[in-house]
Amino acid sequence: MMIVKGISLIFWLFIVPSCIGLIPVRWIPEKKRNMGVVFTGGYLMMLSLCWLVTVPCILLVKYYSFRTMAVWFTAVSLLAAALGAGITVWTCRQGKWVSLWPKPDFRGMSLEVKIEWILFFLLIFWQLYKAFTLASFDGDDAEFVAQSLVTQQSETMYLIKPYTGGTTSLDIRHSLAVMPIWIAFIGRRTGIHTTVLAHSLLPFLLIPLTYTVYYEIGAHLFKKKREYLPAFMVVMALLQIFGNVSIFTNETFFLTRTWQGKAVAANFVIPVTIWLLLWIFDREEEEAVHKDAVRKGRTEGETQAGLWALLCLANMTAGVCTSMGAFLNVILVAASAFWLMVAERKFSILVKAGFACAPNVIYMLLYLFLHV
Amino acid sequence: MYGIFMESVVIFKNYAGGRYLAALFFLALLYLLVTEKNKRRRAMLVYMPVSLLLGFFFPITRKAFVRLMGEGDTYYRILWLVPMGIVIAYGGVKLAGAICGRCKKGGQWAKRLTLALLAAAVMLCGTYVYASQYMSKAENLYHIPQKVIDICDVIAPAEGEERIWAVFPTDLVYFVRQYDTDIQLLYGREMVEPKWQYAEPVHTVMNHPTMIDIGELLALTRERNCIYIVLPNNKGVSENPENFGLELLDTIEGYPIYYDPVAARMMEEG
Repeated sequence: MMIVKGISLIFWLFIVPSCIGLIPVRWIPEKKRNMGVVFTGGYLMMLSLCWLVTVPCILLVKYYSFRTMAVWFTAVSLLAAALGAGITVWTCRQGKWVSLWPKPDFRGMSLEVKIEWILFFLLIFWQLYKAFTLASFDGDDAEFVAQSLVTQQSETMYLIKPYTGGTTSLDIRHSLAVMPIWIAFIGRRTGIHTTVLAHSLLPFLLIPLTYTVYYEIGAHLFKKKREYLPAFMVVMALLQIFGNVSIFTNETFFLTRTWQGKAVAANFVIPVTIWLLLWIFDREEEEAVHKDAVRKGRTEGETQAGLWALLCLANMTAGVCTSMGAFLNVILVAASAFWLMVAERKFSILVKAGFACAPNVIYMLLYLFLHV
Repeated sequence: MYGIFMESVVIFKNYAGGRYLAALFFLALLYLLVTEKNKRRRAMLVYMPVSLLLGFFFPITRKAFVRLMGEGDTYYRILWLVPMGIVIAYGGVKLAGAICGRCKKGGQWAKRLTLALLAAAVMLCGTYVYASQYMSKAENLYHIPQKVIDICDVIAPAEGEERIWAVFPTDLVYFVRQYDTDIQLLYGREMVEPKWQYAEPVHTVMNHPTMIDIGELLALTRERNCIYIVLPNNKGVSENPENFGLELLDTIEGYPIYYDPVAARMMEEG
């Protein structure tokens, strides 16, 4: 039984998102394609799809809405994963496949760089070990984790008060942030109690996922001095471990409430947004990218389409994590786009960024509409 | 306006926790402002964070936030948008690289020393998360106190049976429904958080600092079909609960678990 649960967990947490993440790869510049993008993109797509399936079920299905959601989301996820795999096979057959796996040059790597990488992986291991062996008390779990468990055990969504169990009218404030439902779904498909899933198992996904994003940011910032990347990663890991200067920091949320939507928003969605904005606008190699695109008969805009799509998905994922996330990400994109517009002297940046925030606008309008 | 500005200052101070990581961030920001030549990176890693910080302290932003969100308690989350970690790590490592480039002799050692100092500064300016008072050794895979699981296992309805209502002491209410949602509570976390200042009569009786008035408690619980009562392990009771017809099922880590047959009968009779 344990083996079946373990295999199901690997299937739903790693294989399905990785396959889904293969969908946008074709529309991302070749030099930027790697497993980190695939995995991160897979989660952005999977969580966004979860929102698109869950919210109509919450609003339209009266009885056992979670049962309906689980059936639909299973179908949609598997279909998306099959589509990703299909696109990959098709690309391979056309001979356009680019290997996604990093090829580290261990021989050419200096001893210092090797030591720094080892140190970084030790710090990650330490965080995972502590996540498994230490329990952190947080009052919000009485709402967040209990919400997942209520969903798993009662098969309804946001109709039962998580604190007490009393029935309630639809809880609008939380119902658009469907992260607890996604956890309940994984619990349903794997047969694992959602509290065990959230507290003991999800950190093994969410902590590496966040570092994947930091890796991509570091790799971008130090693309000309690759040997500095492990030092950047070590400092990032130390900042997470020693960032508990108060209960409010995103680092504190990262390692003490890893599984909660707001922690995922602060430590996955916001860094992903910064990473994508850097990738889209900070193009030192834009000439090379342009020439490469033209050589392959595509415009530069086409090669960037995947990144814009991922930015839209990041904005959707922010709302999946927490309703405030949808609002915060708009501020982040707007502030970044404003300064990039000033730097580039291109008003179009602001317009494009505005379009990328369309999911957040729809989300906020829906939130207001349901509140009235 | 000045008052609102000062509120934001206090929120920032609370966020920074009186430690110097924020100072490290400002130093890194200053360093990048002076040395970063790439205009897009300056936009993303210098101007954007500075404008967000200025916006954070600007009173109208706070007013708008409170108006939109309906509360000001979460205003600190705007600071999550400021990429403090990325700026510190990028600025620090870039500085180490620059020092390496400038030193003709022993540049590598200067770089290593700078990185070591950066790591030490992060550790000294920060606070080790695993030393937090909220962290404790996990007692099980659920990461909730084992006593809660043991108590819930005593009172939980069997498969296919109806959900039950129970009363738990304040310190346990957070965890009960993270283990089993078939156990419903007369009051939950929303009543026990002092900052929310809600009032609930059963909680008022249970939360008495020293003594629980059993007669008053049962009058309230029986009214609401509550058939299980878990009493605190650190308070006295006004009278022996068994005098009121309660049956002691078990005592786990000092928490007595009572079954109320009177409430069960009243529930059956509708």
